[in-house]
Amino acid sequence: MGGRRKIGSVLFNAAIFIVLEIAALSMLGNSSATQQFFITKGVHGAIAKVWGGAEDIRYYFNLKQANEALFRENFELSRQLDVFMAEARNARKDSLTRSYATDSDYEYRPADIIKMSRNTQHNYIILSQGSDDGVEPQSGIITRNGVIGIVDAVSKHYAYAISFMNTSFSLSARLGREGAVGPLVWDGKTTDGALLREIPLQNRFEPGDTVFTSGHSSIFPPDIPVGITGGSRIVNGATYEIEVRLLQDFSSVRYVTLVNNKGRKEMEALEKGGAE
Amino acid sequence: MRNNFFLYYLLLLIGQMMVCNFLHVSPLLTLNILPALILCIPTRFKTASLLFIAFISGLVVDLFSDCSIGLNAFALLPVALVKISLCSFVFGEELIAREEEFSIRKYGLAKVLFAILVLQTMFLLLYIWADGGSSRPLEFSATRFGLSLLVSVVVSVPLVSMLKPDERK
Repeated sequence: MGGRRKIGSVLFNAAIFIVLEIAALSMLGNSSATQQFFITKGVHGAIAKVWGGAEDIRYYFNLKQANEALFRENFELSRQLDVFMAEARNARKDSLTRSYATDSDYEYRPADIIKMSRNTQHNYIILSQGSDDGVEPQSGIITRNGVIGIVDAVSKHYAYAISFMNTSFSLSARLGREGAVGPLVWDGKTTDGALLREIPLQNRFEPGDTVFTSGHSSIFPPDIPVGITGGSRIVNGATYEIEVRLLQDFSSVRYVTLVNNKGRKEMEALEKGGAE
Repeated sequence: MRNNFFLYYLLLLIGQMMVCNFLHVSPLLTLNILPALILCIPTRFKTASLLFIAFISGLVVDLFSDCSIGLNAFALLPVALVKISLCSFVFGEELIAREEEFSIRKYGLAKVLFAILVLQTMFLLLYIWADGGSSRPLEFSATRFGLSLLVSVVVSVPLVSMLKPDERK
């Protein structure tokens, strides 16, 4: 009788264990779905308010660094403005060029990071803008120094994003402006290290070459400089794996730009139609 | 102490959240005291209760810290599952049968250290594997495991000593 009760107890515990373990694993595996859950959205708001205060203190002590970055950015913008104004003046001389109006495929929106994890292998970001500010899931997050992440879920006032410093994040990147394209992933160790993979052996490159976004995704525009190449190794005798030092150090990022491809939904619908 | 146990438990849970959020020493270091907390839960709590406490504790830490949701809960459940069997093995079956509490003074540092080591090893192996371990080089995961185990065990011993004081007068 006692033995039967013991077996029953073991089976009961095993059943609870399996059910709870499956629940935990499904939450872990379906991060995107979990982030859409209303409890998670509420928790993100709380995290942003509670832990975000501590980030503010950190930012306060980084103000000198931020000022220097703003100064450099301001200088670069002034320089670019001069170039564009000169080009505009030249363009006016030729009346034919007036008809060539260009309209960007991407819309940009400034945002700031409230909370950013850097210590795990699945890092995330919480932004201070949400659906009320026009932020949509699958928007890219960039700075002038590279790619920061992708918005995964939005609540009214906040957005949850997957950071580039996440093992599940892969960015399509190009070696130089016209080189080979391969997936760029975080190295998992540092806040400014990445690996460019699957570069065919026939490609030539030197340490110090720039890596850009390829534009082979519906999220990020092409030609954003992302990092500088370093050492490399041959993987399985077939492709190069190149170390990349990111231009954007994730330990100091706060102000970002959200980029939304206006034609993304149309492209996705087309892909879906093609697949069917 | 018995009355205050869950107050201490709650405070240490908040402490774990603070560690996850602010103690960013290195990607190679994961300091986690949750296995030690599960070990210290009074022996009157049976495995089913331990599983629920572990799941909720892990989930609360996941939700309010930098971890992926479900990560701590996933790694902590096996710890709760084996806790009673491990205590029986290390401290003797009488401890569980009589619903007594263990302490470092009563059973010696070596036995308590062994129990912490086993639970931390289980927890960290699952945690590191689920936290992208399969997509990282083996040496990275091995170094992370070794370093995290060392630091977590060293931190867990005084916590266990605090949560399980010797009640003999």
